[in-house]
Order: sequence, then structure tokens, then C-alpha cells
Amino acid sequence: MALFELASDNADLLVALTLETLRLAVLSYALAFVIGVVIAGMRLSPVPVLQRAGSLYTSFYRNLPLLVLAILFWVGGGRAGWPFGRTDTVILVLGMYTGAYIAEALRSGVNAVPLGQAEAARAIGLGFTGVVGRVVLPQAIRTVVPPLGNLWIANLKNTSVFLVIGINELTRGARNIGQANADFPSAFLVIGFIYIVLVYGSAQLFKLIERRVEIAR
Amino acid sequence: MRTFTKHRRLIAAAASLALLATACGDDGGDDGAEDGGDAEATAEEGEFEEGSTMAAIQEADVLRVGVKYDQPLFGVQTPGGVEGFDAEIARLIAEGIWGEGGADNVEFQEAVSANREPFLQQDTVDIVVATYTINDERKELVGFAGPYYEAGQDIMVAKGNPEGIGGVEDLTGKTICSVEGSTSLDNINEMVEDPEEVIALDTYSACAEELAQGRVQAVSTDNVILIGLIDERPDDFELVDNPFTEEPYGIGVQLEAEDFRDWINDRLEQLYESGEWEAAWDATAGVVVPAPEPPAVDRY
Repeated sequence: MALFELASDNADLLVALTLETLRLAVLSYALAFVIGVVIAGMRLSPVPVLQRAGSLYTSFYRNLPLLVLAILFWVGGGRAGWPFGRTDTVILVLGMYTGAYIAEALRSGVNAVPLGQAEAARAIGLGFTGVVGRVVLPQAIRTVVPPLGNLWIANLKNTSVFLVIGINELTRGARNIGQANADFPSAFLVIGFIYIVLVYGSAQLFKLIERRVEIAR
Repeated sequence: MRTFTKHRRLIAAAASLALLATACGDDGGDDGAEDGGDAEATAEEGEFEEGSTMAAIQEADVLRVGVKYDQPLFGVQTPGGVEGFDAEIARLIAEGIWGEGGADNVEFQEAVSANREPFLQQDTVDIVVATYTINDERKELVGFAGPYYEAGQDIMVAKGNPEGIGGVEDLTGKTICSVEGSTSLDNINEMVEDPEEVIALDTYSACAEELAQGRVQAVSTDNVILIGLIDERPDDFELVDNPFTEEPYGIGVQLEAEDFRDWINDRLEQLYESGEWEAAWDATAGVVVPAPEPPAVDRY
């Protein structure tokens, strides 16, 4: 069958492309997480200027399509002296984009902990670190794991957008393989399957974490 | 279009004289049938066999053509319509179907490199005239009339050629841009030893931007495409002018439309002979490159 033949003929290439997609996804998500924590912290802080800056950041990245951001930073930025290379651009742009969503997920997680919990914690004599570290955050993390899992999945699939700036990842690879073999449907079925394996596999991982932190509720 | 018709008449007249044709050459129009006479009878406008592809197109009053929209001198979208050599060839084919004024029945659609086969397979267009290189893999999927032009792959570099690239052998260790799904990209992958990186993008204009920003050192594809890009930004780019392949450009038709393929081949030969092919070249790509000899059609 043409499908299996195409997959086995291009096995090495497909492995390399899958690893590239995974690498981009992991690095950009790591960056997104750091950005998310910082921006959520800003938005939850009692300082108005920080709150303002944090919400400006999330509005910018949530209101623009990722494709527009990719071209804006790579082509538009290129003219203005954007100093980063192709791969770094993917990690940065995707990281900043997903970071805005992670910030929102974290913020809503913290807001989901009833105010009474913090008040009670303070009433029994805990300081700020105690209130946040022992009462608020442990509860917030539980509500936040499922949305963070969803964002990981979206982030992984969003790497495909960057084929437009010439990144050689799974989707671009499928187009090349489809072209070389004059068989686009098979090439896309193969990478579709790879995406499903990647997404399903990593979703299981998040389910595991979810179960771990479930305990008290 | 008006000046172009005048030009064509002149050449048609000259061609008829040279051939000692009996027909009155200076009345222009489609004189192929008159001075060709012999085998060209099938290309005569207006009369097609019942059930043929040509008859169906004539009946529909529209010739759907896939062309490039971003390829200066060959296919470029302007407020006044699609301009360029490919577009002119499509119009001349339409005139073969409907006669004088047939060019108005052409309906252009943008065809990027990767969607040319699907366009024909899914019956989105009748023909593709989009700097479309004839090769064996593509012949499995679509039919090719022509070639109507022999291009060659060349290299475009930044103005002043800072890397000193003199030909394909100098691309080792360089970052090269070409268009995804194109023969040019396959050639680069095969012929360049150890390039630093080969970047595949969606359009040639995107590759040109990469070169202008110094992110790639060379853009490689068919020379006419490069010349078109240089024509737009002569201060930024220059041509190495050392072609290393032969790329026959064909007119893509639907695989099963063999009658149409044969007819377009006849029509092309007619256009070669009448001088209309050369006039179409002079009015478009001729601004930059003088008209070459028309290639012999390949009736495979």
C-alpha cells in the first residue's frame, strides 16, 4: 500500500521532522511557561502599573493571529533589525504567544481559590509566603493543570504555522514528501498520524499529572 | 492590448511574405488556417468536433486558466488584469478557440507552484500556464502541451555579488532559498554539495525578501523568474547568468483531455509560424531578454 511504502521510504526524514517539531514545541512551551508566570504575577500584583502592563501584553498576543505574528516578527522585524535566527524566532514568537494564554490560565486558577481561604490562612497566623505557598498555590495548581495541558497541545500543533517562514518541521515535511512522491494525501495521512501520536501521548502525561495533584478535592 | 495587436499584425504580415503564402497576410486575425493549410486544420478556430474538450470550453464561453500572480513578466496581477508572457499565451489560445476577441473569455485564477496539479485534477481550471516545468512525475498526473518556452535554472545574488558566486558549484556552504514544490528546489537539493541550508518558501517574492535582508546568500530558480525579480528591484539584486539546467515550460491540461493537448500543440506551432509567439514575448519578457528561438513542441 502506497501509504506504508511512503512512510517507510521516508522513515529517517519523518523521525528528524518529528524531533524538530517536538524540539520547537518543548522549547517554546518552556519559554511560554516562564512568561506566563511572570505576566500572571504582574496581573495579580497589587501594583497598578504592573497590572496594566500585564494586561497590555496579553491583549497584544491574544488578539493577533499567530500567522500574522510570525510574519510580523520575521519579515517585518527583519527590516527593522530583528536580531534572531529562524529557529530562535519560532521559539520566541510561539513562546510569547502561548505565554499570554498560560498567564490567563494561571490567573484564573489563582482567582478560582475562594478569597475566604486566604483570609482563613491569615487568621491562623500564616505570613504572605505561607498564605501563597501553602494555601493558595497548591489549590490553584490543581485547577490549572487541565488548561495547561490543553495549551501544550495547542502549542505543539501551532509549530506548523512557522513553515511560512521556512522552518522545516512536520507539516512542511509532509508538503515536501507529498511533492517528491506526487502523493499529498498519503503524506498528510502519515504526518496526521504522527501528530495524533504526539498529542495523544503527551495528553496522557498531563492526565497523569492531573491525577497526582487531584488528592484533596 | 491594442498596440500589441498592431505589432502582431506586422509580424504576421512579414511571416506570410517570407512563406510566400497565398493568403492576404495583412488582414491580421488568425491567419494560421489560411497560410498553414495542411495539418493545422484541427487548430482552425470556431469548429470543433462534437464532444471534444474544445467544443465544451467553447460552449461554456469561458477558458479557466491557472497563472502565477506574483511573477513579473510572466504572470502578474495588475489593476488592468493579469499581465505577462504566460497570460498572453493563454489569451492567444483563447483566440484560437473563439477567434478575434476570444481573449475576453479567459478567466484567470492564481496557481501557486504546489496547487497546479490539484487545480487540473479537480477541474478548477482548464489549463495551467504558470511557468510549469514539464517532467515525468507530473506527466502521470496532468497532460502537457508545449513546451512553449525553454527556461534554465540560474542564481540571483545580492547586488555586487558579495559572495562571489559564479555558478552552481559555488553554492557549497551557502544558504539558498527556493520555492516549495518546485523543480528548482529539487535541483538544488541534488546538485549543490553541502549547502549550509536550503530554505523552502511559498513564493519567489518571499525568497527575494530573504535575500534583500541578507538571510540567504542566493535565490535559485528559472532565469526568467529571477530576471523578473531583478526587474522590480534592480538596486538590490543581480543575476549570476550561468544557467545550469534546461526547464521546458509546458501548458498543463487535464490528463484525460488528450484532444485538447493535441490541439494546443497545433495552435502553438501556428503561433510560432505567424510570429504571434514572438510578438507576445517582445511585449512582455522581451523588456529584459530578447526573444529566443521557440522550442519544438513535444508530442509525447
